[in-house]
Amino acid sequence: MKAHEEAEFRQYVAARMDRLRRTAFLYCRDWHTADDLVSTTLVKLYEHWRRAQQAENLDAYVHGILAHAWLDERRKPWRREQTVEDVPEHVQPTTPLPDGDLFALLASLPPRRRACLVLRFYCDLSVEQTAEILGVSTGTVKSQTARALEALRGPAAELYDRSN
Amino acid sequence: MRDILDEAIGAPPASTVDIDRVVAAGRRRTRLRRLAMASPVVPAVAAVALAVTTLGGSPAAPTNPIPLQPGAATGAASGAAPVYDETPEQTQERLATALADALTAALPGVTLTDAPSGDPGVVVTMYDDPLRYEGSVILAADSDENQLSIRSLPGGPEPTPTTPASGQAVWTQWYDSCADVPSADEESPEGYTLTTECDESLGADGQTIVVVSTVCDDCPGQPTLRRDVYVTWTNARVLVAITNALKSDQPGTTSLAELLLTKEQLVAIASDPQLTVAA
Repeated sequence: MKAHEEAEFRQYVAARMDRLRRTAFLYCRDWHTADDLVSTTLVKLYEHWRRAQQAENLDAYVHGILAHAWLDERRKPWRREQTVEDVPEHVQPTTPLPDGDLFALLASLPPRRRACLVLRFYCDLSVEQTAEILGVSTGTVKSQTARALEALRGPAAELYDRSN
Repeated sequence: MRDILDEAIGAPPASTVDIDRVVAAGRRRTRLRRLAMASPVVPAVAAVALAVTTLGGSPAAPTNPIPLQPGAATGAASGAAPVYDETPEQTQERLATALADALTAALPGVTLTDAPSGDPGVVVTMYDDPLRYEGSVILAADSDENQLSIRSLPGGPEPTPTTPASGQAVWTQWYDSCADVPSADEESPEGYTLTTECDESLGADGQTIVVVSTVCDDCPGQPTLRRDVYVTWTNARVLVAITNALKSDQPGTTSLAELLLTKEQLVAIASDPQLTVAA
């Protein structure tokens, strides 16, 4: 990488660091792991910086790397997640969610469903971009997102209803 | 939605992401990839892994680094893994190649994909604090997919398990005896009963081998859903784990198939001295 490219890379990273860390935290709920995920993402981004810059949406490209870094990370056996997993389809808190409950509900979502939610509503990516990142159809993204929001009834579902 | 989540996240702690280290790691990986692509001679079996991995070795470096203390390689049953005279980059290459070779031999026709990047082949990466080498590879054979992960690290005092407030383990418990393995049954969210089985043995080279398997008792065929093999040498530790839970959250797929590798195959792979990083 040439000096001016590296300078651009550093500038991009500095501008996006906070958003990337927060996104990673939403995935894993642990700042230590979040920073590991961001570091992994940035190393890969550095490797493919030229290709990344040609992407239609650089931020979407980077969020794709981050989402995959997390999906891979959580599969590692030392993360101690259960092999068979699913969540109740209908979690219906009756009162507004305190922050802790919101994270607990997020964590209870199956990983791809959680990724759909984060990519769509925190990273502001389109259904198409989310589908491309996760390697699924747009229909799957829509259904996974709807199920995730159903599980997060309360403030999230309220916002979703308003936006539709 | 973003505002709600941002508010819930609050003020993040100081970042531990070091951009200079990121750049240094990126440069190293870029350089290694370039060298791997320029490497003129690669053994046939390793070619598949090496040609596509981002962690190939220098053309000037020996393909098979020479053990300084070939205790395990000689079959002396000392329990000591060989110590290789090599750079971290060579260690990454050696582990990736050995793992790719072993998997290809155990599962002819298997497709290997680096799980983090989606690139073909096997990639092993070094991490600090504690020093360790890790890799995750997706095995695709017929219509099944498994994910296999490896963690190789030097011996010495057992790493301290740490569990942050979030409850996610940063470092797992190391098992060198079945007596330490929790035996309580678990129930999966789907209502299946998951039991833990443990076998302990001594390897041909004197290493201790502990195999922890998670079996679904009330699933059809009672498949093993995950298997972890802990190999403890006197100077090294290797954990190889395989799981078939890749598609459990995707509609129309099942996570209840039997693992692609048998217990014997997984033990043979994990016990290989070439997968060790001895101090």
